[in-house]
Amino acid sequence: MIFGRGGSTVAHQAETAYHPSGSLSFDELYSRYATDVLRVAYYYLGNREMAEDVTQDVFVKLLTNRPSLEEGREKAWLLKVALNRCRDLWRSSWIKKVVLGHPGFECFPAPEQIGLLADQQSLSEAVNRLKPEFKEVILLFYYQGFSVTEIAEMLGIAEGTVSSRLSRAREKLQKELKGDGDQ
Amino acid sequence: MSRPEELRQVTEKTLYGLTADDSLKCRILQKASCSTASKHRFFLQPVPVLCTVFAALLAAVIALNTLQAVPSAGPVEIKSFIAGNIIVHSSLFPDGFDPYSVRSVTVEGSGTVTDPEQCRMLISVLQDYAVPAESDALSDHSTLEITEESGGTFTFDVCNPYLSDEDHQVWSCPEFFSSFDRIME
Repeated sequence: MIFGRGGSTVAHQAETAYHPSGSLSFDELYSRYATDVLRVAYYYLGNREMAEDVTQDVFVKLLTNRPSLEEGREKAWLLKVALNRCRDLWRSSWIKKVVLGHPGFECFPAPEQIGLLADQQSLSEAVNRLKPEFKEVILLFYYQGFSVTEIAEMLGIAEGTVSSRLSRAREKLQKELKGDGDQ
Repeated sequence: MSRPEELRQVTEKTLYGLTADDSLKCRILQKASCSTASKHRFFLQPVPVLCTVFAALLAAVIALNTLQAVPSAGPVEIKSFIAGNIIVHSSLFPDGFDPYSVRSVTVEGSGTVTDPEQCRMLISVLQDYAVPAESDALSDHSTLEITEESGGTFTFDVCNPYLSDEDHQVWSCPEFFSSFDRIME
């Protein structure tokens, strides 16, 4: 894609002028959280291009809708929007055919880590294979460090539901990982 | 065996090479500036437009009041009025569509829009700008198909600038057709 000089100028103005949470600029939010959004979307969808598209949609929405974000709640908003988008994509028949038909979760280790990661890779792959409702709580709780209360608020479900999903997801992960270990 | 508690550290290693880089940031900024530009283009900068519409309506009301002696050719019908900063139409285009759940918008003979952002914008244009119109069955019509993520499809007969549903209710929305054509260009 070629970016015109005019487009870049407009984009740069948007970037510098807009402070979504009052204290953090778009630039700061992007550098702090975009990778987290991208990786959560990748865990969810197992497809790099689609995860990038979701990340793009989330940050475009941030710039065009200009929500006023409470300080300290920026990441929760970004991940909530990302998960909604992932859920939409997951439900569509296209992704069921293309992604479920070709489970392609792939790891991207640092060059010096290649070959040393079988164990860790199994955990990542097992998380990716969980059903969406389990994957969401595992990612938000263990990967992103949100509390059960925060997750309940983000997903619009009861705290008890989050806890039970977490517990069932842990069981499923253990089974999956033991299965891998036995092979 | 790795445990879920280690997911953060594990992810740092297994997805080390998957990062949101500057090229993705460029894509986002470019797309955002296009969206903002198209919003401005399609919504015609609401403040001056609303001022103009308000002034025109006011002038029309004053003119009607002062020229009551002149017999009118027929009843005057005002299709829309101003409430706050939005224009409220007397009968809106079906608003059962959630712009976020539309997968594609197809105008027979013109093309199909599948980009979610553009689909959203087109549905918003319909919901915001379509006004009821009186027209007989549309002649030489083609069809507009709106397909939702769920797979449900809604079909309208269209003949620029009119749209008609299966109950033969007709709306006029030239903005929709010009927006669609711009996307297709």
